[in-house]
Amino acid sequence: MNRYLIPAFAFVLLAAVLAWGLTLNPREIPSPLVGKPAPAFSLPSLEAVDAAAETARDAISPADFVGQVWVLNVWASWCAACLDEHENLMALARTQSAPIIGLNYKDAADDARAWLEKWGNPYAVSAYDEAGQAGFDWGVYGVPETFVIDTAGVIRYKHIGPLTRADITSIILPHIGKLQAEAVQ
Amino acid sequence: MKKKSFIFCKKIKRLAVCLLLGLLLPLANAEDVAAPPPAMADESTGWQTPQQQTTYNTLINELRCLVCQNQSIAESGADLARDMRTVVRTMVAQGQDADAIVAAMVARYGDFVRYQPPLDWRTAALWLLPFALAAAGLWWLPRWVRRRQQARVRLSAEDAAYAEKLLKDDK
Repeated sequence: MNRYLIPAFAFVLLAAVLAWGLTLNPREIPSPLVGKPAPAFSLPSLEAVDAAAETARDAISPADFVGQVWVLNVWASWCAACLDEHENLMALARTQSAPIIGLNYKDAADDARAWLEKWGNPYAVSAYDEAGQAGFDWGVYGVPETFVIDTAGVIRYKHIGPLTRADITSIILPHIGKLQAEAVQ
Repeated sequence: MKKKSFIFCKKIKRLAVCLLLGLLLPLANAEDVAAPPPAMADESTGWQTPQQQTTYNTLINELRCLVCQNQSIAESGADLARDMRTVVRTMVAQGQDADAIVAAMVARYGDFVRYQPPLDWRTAALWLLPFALAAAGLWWLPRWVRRRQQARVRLSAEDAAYAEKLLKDDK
């Protein structure tokens, strides 16, 4: 009896561990940036990137948004999953709970502008990251990615992959609300 | 009877040698893995020193692609892997050492980016379990063998004589 008990127990234990493993999403890699200050960048806005004069290329920097809770959404016109979440991002923008800043990642400016023209623009402004350097500093490895940043400029939440309607209502909006309440205290 | 157990002992020795060779095999392969894949040859030219070339080749094989998971950035054809190789290349060319480059990658992508994660409480099982299993196996093997041997000895004198007779007849 005993000689079957131990292998049976080992099997059940292994099966339980593997079953738990199947519930995890291997694409969701915990970001070391959560809890850290938002990495700095200085990028032209998507609208102003082609402006002839150097001064007209108004630079966007995370430091501009210190004092408010904001959302950074990494997107590109070549990214099919960005179109999947686009409608939900528009819904988030309509709630006006926090400004959504776009990070247009490794894209052609004309394509990106045409994409916004065609589908609608949920972003307060989009930073144009042609080389992908800002994306690298933010640890971007798959577009779309969404960050929630608190009033002190610290990244508090990172979402990988397209946002669903449920993600917006049950994760992003509560996070924004919590961080805004934190700031008031 | 004595002769039989001697043969059995030889078998155990052979088993032990096989096990040892099995354990050493991955070490022999490690050198093959470190060699740069031919596909990356186009990106591996123009180094100032052979040392930089070596650092670059080692790093791109040690860093893991986050898109094509389970491939190193040297093996992966993903855009992200190419970008990461470019970053490694630039940093090596700037004269940064391997530790600084790995640290920069870990700061952005986390320990996931390393094929050799550091030993801490989250990775303790990963690092220590193989040794624990090997130790358990080494503890269990002689006991198992002894039990088998004892089972053999339990052959009654009558049965042994009969078996002996059968074997002789066979010849």
